[in-house]
Amino acid sequence: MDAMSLEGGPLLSILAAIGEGISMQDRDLRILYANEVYRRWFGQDVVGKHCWEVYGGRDGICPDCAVEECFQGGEVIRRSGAGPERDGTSLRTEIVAAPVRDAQGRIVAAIEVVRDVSEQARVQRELTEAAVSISSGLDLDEILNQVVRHAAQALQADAAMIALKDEERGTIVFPYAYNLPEHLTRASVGPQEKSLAAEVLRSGEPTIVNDYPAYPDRRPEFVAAGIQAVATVPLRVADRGVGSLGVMDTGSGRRFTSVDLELLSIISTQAAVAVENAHLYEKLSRSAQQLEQRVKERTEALSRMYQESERKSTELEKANLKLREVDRLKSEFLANMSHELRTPLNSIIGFSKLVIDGLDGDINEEQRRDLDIVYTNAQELLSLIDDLLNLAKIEAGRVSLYRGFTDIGELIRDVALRLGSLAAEKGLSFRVDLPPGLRPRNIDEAKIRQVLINLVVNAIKFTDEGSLTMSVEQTPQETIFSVTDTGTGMQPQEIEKVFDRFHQAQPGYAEAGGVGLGLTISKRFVEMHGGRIWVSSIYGTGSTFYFSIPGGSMEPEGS
Amino acid sequence: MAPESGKNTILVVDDNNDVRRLVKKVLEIAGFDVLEANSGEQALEVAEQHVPDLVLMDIRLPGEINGLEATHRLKENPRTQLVPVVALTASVMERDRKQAVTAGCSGFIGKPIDIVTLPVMVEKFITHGAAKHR
Repeated sequence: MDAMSLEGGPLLSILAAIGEGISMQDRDLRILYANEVYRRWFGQDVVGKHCWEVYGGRDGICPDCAVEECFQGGEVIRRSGAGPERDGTSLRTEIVAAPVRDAQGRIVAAIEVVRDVSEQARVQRELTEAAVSISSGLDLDEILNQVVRHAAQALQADAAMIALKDEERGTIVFPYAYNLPEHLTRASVGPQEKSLAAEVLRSGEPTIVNDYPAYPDRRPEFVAAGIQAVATVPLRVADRGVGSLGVMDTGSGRRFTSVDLELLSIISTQAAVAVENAHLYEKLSRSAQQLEQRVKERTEALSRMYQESERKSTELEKANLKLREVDRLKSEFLANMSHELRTPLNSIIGFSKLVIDGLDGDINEEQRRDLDIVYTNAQELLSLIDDLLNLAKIEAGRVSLYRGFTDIGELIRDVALRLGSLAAEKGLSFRVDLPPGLRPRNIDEAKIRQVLINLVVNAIKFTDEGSLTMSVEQTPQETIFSVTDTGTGMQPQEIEKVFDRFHQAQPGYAEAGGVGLGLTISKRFVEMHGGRIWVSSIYGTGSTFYFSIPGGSMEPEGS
Repeated sequence: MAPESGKNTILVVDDNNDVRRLVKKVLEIAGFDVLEANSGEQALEVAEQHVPDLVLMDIRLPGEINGLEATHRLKENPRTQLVPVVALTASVMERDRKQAVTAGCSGFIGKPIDIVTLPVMVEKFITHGAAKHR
């Protein structure tokens, strides 16, 4: 097979007409045949030369030679590479080398087909660049400005533009344009008006208009801008048509094809992803800003609150001072009142008793009983004054404990001695139940005595028959006092409230004289000692009041 | 210091006539001799003159010399310093009681006066004071 035998045949006519460079080489890599395109690229005189000479290789070495590899392996070899220079830049080529065999199957020659892929490579490069720059942006304006620029460059169009639907107004606007008069970016198409952008948005179909001035729905401002041809694809974000991306020819004579639409679609898809990202980012950054704003507002609010609270605390301090002064005046008033009230009571109680006891001479029974009422009520009044004063002092925190080691048994017996006659007057038996070996405890004797007196006097008041028992028990840790009576007892709801201030016993009790403040004061005194006070009672059977003081049989006396 | 009559003498100092009358009555019935003073100044005079076995001293007295001051002066006077002074007071304030002790009082008898216990307590204070200074 030689080149001459090919000459003039119909096959050669075909080869000559093909748009790719085709050559045939023998095993020495000598070019036997080159078609028109091949000769145009590599030189009219290439036939007869070695291929390495054609490719500019040196010393018979052509690196990565597809033809040589084809001879060696007997297979079709594909290569991409840099081809001959054209217009100062080397062509991007794709080479296919295929073996030519004789009847015996021996490889006698190779066909080399060289395809110029420079344009493809350029578009690829443009698209990659577009993809990178489009998807790396987070600012929507910037992204869409990049999109129009890349679209125009990738498609080698004169200009490009994005049409967007303005959802609020129902219009179409063209805010992003490349290489178009700026006023077009302020153009808008009304909801009822026709336009190419509106049509694409409606149909969702990529569209080419290669004679825009003759297009029925042409916009005069675009015609005036010199737009001759348009290729446009829809712009879809999150499956929703938001507008279109178009490239334009404004006088270069470029006419668009379906290949252009494909390229444009790729760019528009990338643009859509970028827009979506930007939306997300904007949302995020808006949230972040809102968050920041909220934090700022909160901080300010806090600071205002702080200032406010500072101001209030100053006011409080002043109010506090005033209150303390008022409290001091109140205490003073109470102390004075107490003294003033006691002095006349002193006389009432003293003299009525004097007369009752017959120290001024004999009186008859009627006189004695009446005077008894004077005496008893004066005593009541006195104890009420005492209680009021005491409670006021306790609540003002002005009462402190004066502790001393106290013989518990002696204390109990002393209270019993004082109140025994009161119980006897009502016909009640009064028992004292003391275990042997009671340890003295470090207590405020006067206050504990008062607690005991309060409890016993109450018991006497509410018991009409039966007995009263005072007893003490020392556990290792505490000393527990109790006063038991066989009186009326209390209902469960009564028990809860019995230590409350001004607690009013149930109606039937009123005639027995009020409970007054005695139990409330007792509770405070016991609690000041670190103890507690409680009651168990069965209605109709009687009550036992208990109170405990820390420190029992085990602690050393000095603790 | 033993009175000629063999009875103990009590000086009752109070500006309130009713109180003095009551205390005097009760104590006299109980067998004491009773002297009276209605002010601090008078109390110092009477005590200097008669040197009683016990002074029942009202703390709140009108005039220059209140009960505390009078007690203090009695305790500074060699003639009267061994005479026990018992505060007779309606005050139940701890502060007042502390001040009374500081001034030299041996104890308190609270108002209103319990006419049954008053003579007993007076007797006790006299015995106690005597025991202390024996």
